[in-house]
Amino acid sequence: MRAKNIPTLAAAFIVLAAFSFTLPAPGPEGPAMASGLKVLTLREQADQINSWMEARFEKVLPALMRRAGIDMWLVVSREYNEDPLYFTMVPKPALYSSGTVALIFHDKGPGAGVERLCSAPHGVSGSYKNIWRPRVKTQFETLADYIRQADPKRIGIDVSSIWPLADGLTVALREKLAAALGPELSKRLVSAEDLCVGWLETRTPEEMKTFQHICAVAHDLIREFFSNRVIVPGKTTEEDAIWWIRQRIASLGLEAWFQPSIDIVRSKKDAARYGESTIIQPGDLLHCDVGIRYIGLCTDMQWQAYVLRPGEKGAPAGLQKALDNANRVADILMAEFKTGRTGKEIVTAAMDKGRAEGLNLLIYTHPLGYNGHAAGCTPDARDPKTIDEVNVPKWSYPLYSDTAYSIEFSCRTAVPEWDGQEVGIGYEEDALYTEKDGCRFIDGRQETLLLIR
Amino acid sequence: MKNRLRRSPVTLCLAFALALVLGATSVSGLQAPGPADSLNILPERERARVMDEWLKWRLENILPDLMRREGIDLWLVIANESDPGPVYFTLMPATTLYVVRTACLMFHDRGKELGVERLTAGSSRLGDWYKSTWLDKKGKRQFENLAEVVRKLNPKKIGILTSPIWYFGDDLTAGLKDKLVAALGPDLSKRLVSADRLAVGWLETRSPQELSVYRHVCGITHDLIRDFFSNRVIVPDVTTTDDVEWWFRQRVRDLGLDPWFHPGISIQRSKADSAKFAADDGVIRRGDLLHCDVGLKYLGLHSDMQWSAYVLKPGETDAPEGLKNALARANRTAEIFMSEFREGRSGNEIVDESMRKATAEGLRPLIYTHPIGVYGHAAGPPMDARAVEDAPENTRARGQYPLFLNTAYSIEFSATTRVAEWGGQDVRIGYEEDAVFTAAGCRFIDGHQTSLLLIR
Repeated sequence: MRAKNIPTLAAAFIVLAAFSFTLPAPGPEGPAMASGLKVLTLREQADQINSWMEARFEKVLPALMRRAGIDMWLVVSREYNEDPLYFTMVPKPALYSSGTVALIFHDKGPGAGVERLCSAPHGVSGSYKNIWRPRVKTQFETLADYIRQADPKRIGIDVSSIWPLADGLTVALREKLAAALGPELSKRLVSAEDLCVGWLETRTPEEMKTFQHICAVAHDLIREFFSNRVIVPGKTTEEDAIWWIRQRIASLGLEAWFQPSIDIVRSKKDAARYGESTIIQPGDLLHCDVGIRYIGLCTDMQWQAYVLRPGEKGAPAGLQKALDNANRVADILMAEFKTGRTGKEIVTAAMDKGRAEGLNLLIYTHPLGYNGHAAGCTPDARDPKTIDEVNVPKWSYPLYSDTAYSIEFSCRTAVPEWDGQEVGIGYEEDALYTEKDGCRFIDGRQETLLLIR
Repeated sequence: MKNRLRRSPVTLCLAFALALVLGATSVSGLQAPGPADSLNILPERERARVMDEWLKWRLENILPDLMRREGIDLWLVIANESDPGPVYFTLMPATTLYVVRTACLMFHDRGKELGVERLTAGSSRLGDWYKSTWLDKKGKRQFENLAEVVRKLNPKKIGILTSPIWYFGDDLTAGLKDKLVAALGPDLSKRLVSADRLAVGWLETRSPQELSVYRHVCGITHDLIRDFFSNRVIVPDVTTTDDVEWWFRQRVRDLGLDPWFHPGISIQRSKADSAKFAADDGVIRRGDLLHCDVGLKYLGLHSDMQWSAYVLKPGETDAPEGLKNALARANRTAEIFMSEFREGRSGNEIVDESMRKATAEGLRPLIYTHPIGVYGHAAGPPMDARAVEDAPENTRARGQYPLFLNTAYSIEFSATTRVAEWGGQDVRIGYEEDAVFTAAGCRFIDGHQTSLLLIR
């Protein structure tokens, strides 16, 4: 009995040691992926984001305000209910807004540029001059006085029936603002929705450069969990793998912007054998949908893995063909990206060409950036009646250069090894569009199925 | 060494076991306890399970009473994708990390017998949590369907989240309200009322399970404070306040917790020492009184704490008496203040009376306490004696809100004391510790700082 106990104890220590090894213990150099790829520490991420932000104010904002014809832009929101744009405009380490904050962007013309001001009880970090100093009148009276004196022609506010991300102003704040401005000035209030979308979607050269590193971290994460490191066929469930991903994301100091999913696609024969069980089995095709937020930018990816049967060396050719077909769809879709085209135009052309090649596809691609489901050109071919009606007007928004997309669609292929069963590949990979280089993947894409032994 | 290891793994195991036993003995024995709570943090999956259990209990036991208290028989919580507002996620299971398209939760109070029915008019199926009402997506638009459901339920008062004075409860965007009013039509729209007090009640009320685990959340925060206010993190004359702040941020992240605000580490220095060092290099020096303001979020509960530490000068073994006295006076202020907490009293009454009593005792306090819970600066009555221009907006208006049972507060104030050893200089202790108010009164959740932490 005792003699038996000691090996048990030893085993327990080995388990403990293995567990503590997987626990995050980053030194000053920060955490890393299993591949060795470095993940920036929070402090390094903050520095990076702040340097980008400053460049964005100087290079991106003035042109966008002029494009939208808005010479004054108000981004007004409250603590814990910050405008979706707020943290893209206030540098790190801000984690919440202190009280009600109005950010004011005043375009003084090409010579003088855009002045950044704020009306805030405790000020705002970054180069915002607080107009509520000294506090002689109330916050909104002071704001109204300032606007009256600046005399802008069109005052943009974040109200939008199309874009949730451009609809940050609450009911009470709009009422307060309108009351303070009075009827005459209030007539100049206009929706700043195009300006909001432009601000969110436009990537600077620096952001585009680092986006590759961000996608590389996301790709490494997929390679980590779609492997025997995490999956033991016959034992591991979809849920186990999902929570492994959540835990790993948290440990790396990244953020999961949606709950990841793992799905089993199974031949009818195997499905009859395993029933409703979510245990991953040999012969399964696995699909993941995983996204992170890192250095302020989001990823959103769907990759596939095949679980080898005993004796198998590779995936059935039919499954690889299904992935090849999906990659062909991506090529067709991405070739249709041209500046000024609407999402609807891009997707209609791509759907037609794909069908003409005999591909069984359905495209539902979305913009990507600070948000996973971001605002911008939306090539979506789904029946508007099966999705939220507010999506439809989004499809008319045109494609601008220097923007990012999650190239997302499904493509179905009959697989001979599975008795001709149709297998749907849920495909998603992150891409950048620039007028110069067209639409290209940020960090490559999945060419072959990952294999799990 | 290598040989030995190879020869006797059993001996090695026994040595480990012995070390473990000894470690356990020293923890339960006379030595000061090391960190415990921060070594016992649940993996993500377990957290979701715990939080979902809590949510279920809260929806079934807390929400109905609150809806009746506020006389609202239909509550609409509408949220845009990527703009959830402060209330939405507190009503959703833990695996909900973002809003899918436009979400619309509906809470319909059918009376004591039948209870509150939970519905959704959004596009996602939400299982047992919310019953779907938008079934015919091809035939009806979302808000058309929503208006139909509301018409059929025929509520007297429809609560929506708009509020002139509360941050929480002003979730609805101007765009969504326009859409809602257009869909409901003029008659039903007349029944729309602000549900701000309902939202505040929902956010501020803690369940028995939450009150129990809150001790652990505060324990983790205390562990981290003791970690960074020690020679583990601070080397006097080398380490800067920035270094300590980012150590905390990274540590909180590595533990899989959330910092809800960027930590602040600040230095108070005697005038004599200030003259010796560059004013703003941020380097921590011997003789400094250090102050931290840190908080984190775990299992949906927030902490917010300010503790103080003293950096010993060469040869010193303890902090100067005058600094210890400054902390003692701060603790006395907390005691006076917390004994004024009584059910039904407004935040303003509590703070005004406490300021009067503490000032009469010769303390020099300035109280600016806020509720804490699902948020850091949370919903509930603020108790804030600062001048209007220094306090958050509408503080006195929100301070009229009464104190309810089973709510939590960050007992926050400053207390100023003359310190003889610093040439009679005024030293301000920024004090903050988390407390709950229950039928038994107001008490600290995980104790409080009674002596200065010391850095050698």
